[in-house]
Amino acid sequence: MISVKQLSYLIAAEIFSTGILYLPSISLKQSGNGGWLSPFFSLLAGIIVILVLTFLYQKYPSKTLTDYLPQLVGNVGAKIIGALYVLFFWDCGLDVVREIVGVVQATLLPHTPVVAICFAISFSIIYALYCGLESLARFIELIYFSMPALVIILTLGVAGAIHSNAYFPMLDAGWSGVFRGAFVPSSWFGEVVILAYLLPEVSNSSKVLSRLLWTLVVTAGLLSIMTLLIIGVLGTSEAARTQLASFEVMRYVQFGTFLQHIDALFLLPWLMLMLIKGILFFYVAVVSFSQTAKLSKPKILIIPLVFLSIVISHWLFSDEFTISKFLEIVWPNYSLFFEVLVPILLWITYLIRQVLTRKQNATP
Amino acid sequence: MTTTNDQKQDDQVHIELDRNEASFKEMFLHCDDISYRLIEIGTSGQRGMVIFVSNLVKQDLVDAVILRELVGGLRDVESVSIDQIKSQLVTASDVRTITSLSEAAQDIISGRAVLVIDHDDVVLSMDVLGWEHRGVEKSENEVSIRGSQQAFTENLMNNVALVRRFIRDTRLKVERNVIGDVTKTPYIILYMEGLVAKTLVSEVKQKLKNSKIDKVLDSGNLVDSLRENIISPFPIINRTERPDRVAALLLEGRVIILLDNSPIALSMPSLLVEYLQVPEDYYENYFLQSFIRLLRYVAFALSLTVPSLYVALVGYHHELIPGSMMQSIMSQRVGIPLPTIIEVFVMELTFEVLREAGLRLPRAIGQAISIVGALVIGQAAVQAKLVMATTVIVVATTGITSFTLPGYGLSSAVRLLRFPLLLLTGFLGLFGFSIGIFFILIHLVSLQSFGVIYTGSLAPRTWQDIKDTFFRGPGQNQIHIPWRGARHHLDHDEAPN
Repeated sequence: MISVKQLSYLIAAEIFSTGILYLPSISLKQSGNGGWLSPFFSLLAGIIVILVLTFLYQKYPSKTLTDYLPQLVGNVGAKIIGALYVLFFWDCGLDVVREIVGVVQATLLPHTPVVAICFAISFSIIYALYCGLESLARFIELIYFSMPALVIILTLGVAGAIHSNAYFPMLDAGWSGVFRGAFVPSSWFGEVVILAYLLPEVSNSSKVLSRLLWTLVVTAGLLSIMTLLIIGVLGTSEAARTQLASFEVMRYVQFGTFLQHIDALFLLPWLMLMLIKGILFFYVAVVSFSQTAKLSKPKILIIPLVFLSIVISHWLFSDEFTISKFLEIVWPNYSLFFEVLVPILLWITYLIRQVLTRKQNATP
Repeated sequence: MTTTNDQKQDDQVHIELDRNEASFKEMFLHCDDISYRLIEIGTSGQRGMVIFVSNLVKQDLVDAVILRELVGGLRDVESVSIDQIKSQLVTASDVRTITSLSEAAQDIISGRAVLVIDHDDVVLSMDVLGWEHRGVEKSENEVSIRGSQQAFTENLMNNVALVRRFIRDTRLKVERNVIGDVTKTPYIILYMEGLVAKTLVSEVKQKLKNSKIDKVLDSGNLVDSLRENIISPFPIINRTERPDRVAALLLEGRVIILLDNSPIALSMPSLLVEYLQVPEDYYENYFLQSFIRLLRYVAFALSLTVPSLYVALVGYHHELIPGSMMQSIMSQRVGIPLPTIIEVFVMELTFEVLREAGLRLPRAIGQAISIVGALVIGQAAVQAKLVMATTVIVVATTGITSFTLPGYGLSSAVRLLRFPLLLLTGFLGLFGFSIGIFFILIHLVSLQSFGVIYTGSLAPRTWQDIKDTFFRGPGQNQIHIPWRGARHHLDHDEAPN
């Protein structure tokens, strides 16, 4: 069992880790210097998912999505949707691993073979999965403060390099730009769909809803500050051209003449947060797989799932460029389907079924 | 069935002294330290025999309490029974009657005197313990400037008495038992009733009962049975030789095990933060002690990470080192044959060897070793251009910071983990370093000591946790169970307000 607080930290880490690295450069392409507003619109996807999932969880307490699917869509439908979700979560985990490998190779270890990095990551993920969700929850409690700390230190460190004229004229791409810029990041906020499998693990789920909504708002706020920094330091057009704009900004951090070029240090907490994200996805993949296939020992899935994903991610994405293009173009289209659309459809199904049963009860 | 009955009868104390004597002599064949003192009781020619191990009993006590009373006090009586002797003659405070020969033999080798007489099928076992032992001395391994300086000795009951002097409360419970199929070593479980979770006490008892150990020579032997399947370099059972620390641990709802012949008490459950705290923290000014405690946390982190961070910076990420410092490092690097990782690894290993050598040698030579090792070899290696002076500084810093850790168990875990972390960093730079730290952290948070989360108070939940984890806040004189916020299956409902 994990606490509501721990759950909220996990969710924040899940969104923040990818968000801080990819959100600014991707959303700034569309949104111009109003990009700092985009996270607040992307947030909507997350809010919808949370509302729908907590509603369904209230109706089916202590049950995961796989558990209550048969009651909504019948056994065959449940198997199909369940299997699709297994693939989706596993694919998310795989993408995360590849993202870590990409960033590590691009920034820290340009000459090291990818295989070595992959193995180090997969062993960490496997070990953490064996330790269990509770350990992960306790781990995030130790490092959650690194999220605000990262943004605060970055703000202080680059304060001198910010050009305030980059913010004016405000909203140079208009509100439509801001909305377009919010589309891709909304798929990261939608990743809160893992709640469908995490909620039954929460010890006191009464306060989940408000706590999670606040978590989303705070995370969006942090990402917004990050985007503001990037606009101020790099300028909109330069940032939109850069693969990892946040990392570029980290290079500008300077405290006096002694502490400079400390960008690599920012990657340490990021790496931990990203590992947590990957572990969460693999955890949910393992749980949903074992529940859909009715396996008694889910742990036997850990090693094959993780290692297979290493091979496939290596095969799918050859370099950092492919990943960021994938995240920008391919990913939002199908991820939003699983993250937002399916839960909404399930919610509607539930409502229709309610109406039908009520009618049935009324007719005799 | 018959065989068991026969065995039972063989083990019974016989009515005739001669048969009993023969049985004892057969059991103690080739045990020349056993004394058999034959005496005549009363006027009817009834005989008695006192059996004991010469140097385990206090000879004066045997003479005064038993022999003088028996021989002198029964001169006019015709014959007596063990019960009469027990109630009227023997003045020892701890006496009991036994009907089994093997039990009597066990008592004899445990240091009691056993009286066997004619015409009675019970024997009398009397406590006349009095072997030579070390007196209470100053604690050497857990030194403190303020507070009690006493340390435990090898004498079990004395150790209990030392603790009792700190907690004069009837709720302090002392349960005695024996462990080790061969050594049959007595041990004592101490706990505060009401503060400790009952499930914890029974879990400890059960684990000790289930453990199949032949020999228990030190409390360290018990640790393996108590840890069960936990594979970890980190200590999850704390140890101490200070009675005041034991008292403090008891008052935090822990179970303490004291073992005969061992001056080290075991305490469970234990938390990671415990190994960074000393009793003195609570006796001295809290501003100062908070600062020192914080310093210990920093030292803990440094002693684990400094060598690896150094390798990562010098070997992989030069840009992180400020320019002027990098220049100085680079100028030292010229002509050094080894890569940084091997340099640091070899130096760390040398340091560990020196440390071990200094520890095992007599104290006077031990110091010489550290001087030769640290100054001579270090200096010579730098001058010979085998290692960089910075590397020597780094290794020395690591060593010194590791000495600030009060808990020996934690500092040895850090010593051990430093090497894999170093290797990971050597191969994968800062990335390897973070993977290593991730492994260590996730391992730490997954650890549990008797149902209590090992890193519990590191992620503070209450003000009290914050006050007593990284700092030593004021007002720590109330009873507080540190894992109450982080409790797992322990039931504290029976705890007082």
